[in-house]
Amino acid sequence: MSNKWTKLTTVMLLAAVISACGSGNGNGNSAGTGNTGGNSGGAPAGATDTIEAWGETIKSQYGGDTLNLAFASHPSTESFQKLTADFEKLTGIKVKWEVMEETYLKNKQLLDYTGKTGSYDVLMVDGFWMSEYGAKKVVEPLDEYIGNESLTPAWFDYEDIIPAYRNGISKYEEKTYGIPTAGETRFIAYRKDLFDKYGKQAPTTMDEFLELAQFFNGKEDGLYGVSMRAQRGVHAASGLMTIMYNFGGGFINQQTGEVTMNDPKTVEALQFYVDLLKNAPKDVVSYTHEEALSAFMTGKSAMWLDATALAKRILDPASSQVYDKVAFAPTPEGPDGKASALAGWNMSISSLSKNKEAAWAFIVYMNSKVNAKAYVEGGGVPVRTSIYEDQELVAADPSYPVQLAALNDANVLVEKGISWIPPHEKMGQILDRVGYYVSAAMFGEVTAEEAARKAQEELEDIAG
Amino acid sequence: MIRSYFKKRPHLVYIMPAIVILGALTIIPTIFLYGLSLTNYELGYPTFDFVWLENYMRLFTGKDAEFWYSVSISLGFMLVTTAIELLLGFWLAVLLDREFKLKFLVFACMIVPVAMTPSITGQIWKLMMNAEYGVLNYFLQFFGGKVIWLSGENAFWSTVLVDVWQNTPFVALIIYAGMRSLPSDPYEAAAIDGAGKLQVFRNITMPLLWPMILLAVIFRAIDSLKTFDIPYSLTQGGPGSTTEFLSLHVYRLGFAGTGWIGRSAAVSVVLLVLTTVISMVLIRLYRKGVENKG
Amino acid sequence: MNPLGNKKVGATTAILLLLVCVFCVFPFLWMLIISLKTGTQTYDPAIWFFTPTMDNFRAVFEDRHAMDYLKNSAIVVLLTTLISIFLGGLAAYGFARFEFKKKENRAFWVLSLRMLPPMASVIPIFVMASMLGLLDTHLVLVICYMLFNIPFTIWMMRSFFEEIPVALEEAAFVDGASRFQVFVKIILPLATPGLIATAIFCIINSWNEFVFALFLTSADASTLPTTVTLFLSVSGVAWGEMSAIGIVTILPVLLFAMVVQKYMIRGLTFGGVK
Repeated sequence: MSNKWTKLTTVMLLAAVISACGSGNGNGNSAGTGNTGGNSGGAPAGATDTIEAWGETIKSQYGGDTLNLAFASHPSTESFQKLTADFEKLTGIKVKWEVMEETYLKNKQLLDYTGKTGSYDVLMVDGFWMSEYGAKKVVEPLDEYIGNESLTPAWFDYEDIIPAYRNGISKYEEKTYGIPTAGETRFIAYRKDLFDKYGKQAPTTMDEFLELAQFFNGKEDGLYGVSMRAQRGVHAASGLMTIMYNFGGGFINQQTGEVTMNDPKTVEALQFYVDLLKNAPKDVVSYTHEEALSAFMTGKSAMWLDATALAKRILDPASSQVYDKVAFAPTPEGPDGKASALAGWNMSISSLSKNKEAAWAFIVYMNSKVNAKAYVEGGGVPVRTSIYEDQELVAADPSYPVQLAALNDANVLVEKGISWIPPHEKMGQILDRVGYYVSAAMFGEVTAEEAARKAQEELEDIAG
Repeated sequence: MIRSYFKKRPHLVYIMPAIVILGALTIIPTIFLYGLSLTNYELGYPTFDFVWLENYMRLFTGKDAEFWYSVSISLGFMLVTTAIELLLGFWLAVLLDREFKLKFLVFACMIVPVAMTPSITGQIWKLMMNAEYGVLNYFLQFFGGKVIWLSGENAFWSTVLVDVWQNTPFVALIIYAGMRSLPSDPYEAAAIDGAGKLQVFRNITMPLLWPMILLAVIFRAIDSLKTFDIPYSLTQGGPGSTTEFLSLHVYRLGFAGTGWIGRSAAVSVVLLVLTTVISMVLIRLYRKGVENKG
Repeated sequence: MNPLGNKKVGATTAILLLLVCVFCVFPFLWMLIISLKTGTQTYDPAIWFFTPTMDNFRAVFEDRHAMDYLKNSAIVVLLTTLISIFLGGLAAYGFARFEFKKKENRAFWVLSLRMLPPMASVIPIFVMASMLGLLDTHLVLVICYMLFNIPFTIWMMRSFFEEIPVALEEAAFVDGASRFQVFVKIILPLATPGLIATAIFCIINSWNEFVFALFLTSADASTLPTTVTLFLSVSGVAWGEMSAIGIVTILPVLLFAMVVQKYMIRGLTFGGVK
């Protein structure tokens, strides 16, 4: 008897799972189409030509609503939070922030979507996640919102956002799923005082980069050559990506979809990365952004290669011991020429949001050209051409010109038809697996060739 | 009819509410888990297929290279921490088993690790263990030493250290409590017989304390087998996979960016089976110990 | 009552105990120090004397809404402890006072539930909670925490009940009291030390629980241990604030545990030694 019961419950429960998932899908879709239908039909009435008039219009429609946000802990988020009070006053929309570290964030967003809870309206989405989110329909396609003038007033100025970001981190299969809010490319920060002392020049090629790292490693007491992040998983994979394209390597061939982990060029890049980090602090295999940056800021490493978005911290006397001794240089040229990272964060609307237009109003306000300067001054990471050309801001931050140069390098890839973040819906899994094998190679468990070969097998399994 | 049923079994009124709730809370999720482990469900996708044993095949045929490693370090971690904590705990309990004025203060100190939130504490340890600016190496430098606490070779042992720090006091307190509640008659009898110290310890104290020790072992062994919070905060399973214990492997597969819920559920099932088998064996030992004595 | 013989505390023992104490308390102390340091001071462990700053604590309460988390934690922990002790206490009494078939088997089944890895049950519980619309509520955590608190309560309370002489109850039965009345009016008050001991362990375990809280709650019901996720960021770990909230998290439970340490240690015998 008890056996029979167990069987029955099993069947019922499994049926429940299946139906829950099935119906969830239906909901997601119908909500999506229902809303876009609503856009074209019932576009908000009222003036939107100035931000004040727009505010009035939005207030009359969504005043008193509450928006729930799931954002990453990031300088940009902090800056947006400073702008929140003005937004709330202008539109009468209340904003509830939920801010957390990025791996938790992705988890939370996906769990929320899977559970069909729909707790969030606006999501902050890493460019790395965009393909996956697009494929899973976690986020709402935004083209109709951007195209609709009453929803997106001219003062927002979408075209002003640097094209590389618009095309590189917020699209999946030709559709736009996010508005870039924080762009990053990567560059080298180096200790000018040490370079002067030993008569060295900033590296322009990968070979020089490696030589310099070897040169400075142990040159002074407690000094290492370089610090980068290399914790297994996303960090190690992302670290490899920083230099991989300069060697002509890649995870997958973006034209044919073939996995190219054991392509000699990718292996060469991997080998370089492993060799380079032999000149890093000994526990570099556990480094994330934080540790890599701290090592540099406390004067423990002569060079550092990571996100431009972090430059502000290096230059901040309150957090950095080397703020007045640094200079910046773009990612060095490799055997395959120049290339530089192109990553960043987006704001997207959750496909389960019950208040998509209010969510869009929030995105429009926060990312508009009108507020761009206030956003950057609050510590936000810029994505707009107009900001990079703003004399006042350029004068205040010596890293801007190098950032622009790095962005030009990033554009080299775009011209080659390569997206720095490979547009693959299983990107999360690919990064995790590659990151595992990179870490294993660095750790000396396997050789670079062996790691590449195994990664190749696993990636074929995932992508195939 | 129902009335008379309960009248005949008066204990049911007392134990049923708890049993029913516990049953519902464990059996249903477990069945659910088994179901999920037979699918290729991925987080965020609307549909999935039953792949039956494929997820298990992947684990047992070595396609998941990290799985066996996870199993072995999880078991290793369990053995090592339980052994160290038991020995240290016993030693501490013996140290404490005497009268002195500031004893309450020692207890107060020992409660600190027990009460500290593991997720946050793990982070603080991570800061303390940083090779370049951590306080542990700051102390070591006075003795001319420097340890790369979280490097590949040391991360496992650093995790052991934190676990030992957090849980040894608990073991010590259990054993201490046991020592304090030992009956005095056997000792008086032994004194009359003129038994030596070692003999008393081996023939009286150990058998009497045995159940308490086993109980401590049960708690520690199982808790360390399913350890998550500390390695998660401290090492995230790295470097490489040196501290990727089974719970972390479950987490990495099912969440954390990859979203293979089906595969992760299969690993969970293995973890569940392991804990169940080990706790059954230990509990059986414990029962034997208790019954022999009673 | 000192079967291992009366030993004195010699100098060696005293030093050893002192070392143990320092080792136990040091991380807490370090957390306290970090919470009072500024950002750059954090990275220099050689700084022992500095003007403490309260900025971290202010930031934690003003910007990070520590009060909300504190409130959530308090609600969840109080509810789950009360319910667990009530249900578990009833069951413990059942196990202590009645003889029935397969009693020990059931008791050990209960104990084995305490061993379930949360990582294994959190996936199905998440799916079920989302179907019932219980995600991100206090209720779902209260229920999940019962999963480890009830078995614990049953095991701890059983030994306390067994030590209460049956004669006391029988006297009350003669006066015409029902068994339930006896349980509430006579047994429970007598078992107060046990209740306190059990409560403190239930509180510690639920207060510090991380896995369920992380996966099952977000905006409205997050508890203190999950706040650790707030301070990790690409722009650096906010060590000062993290330590500040760590202190806020640990202090209430720690103080309570120290106040009731006598009961706590007594409770740890679990009736294993009778």
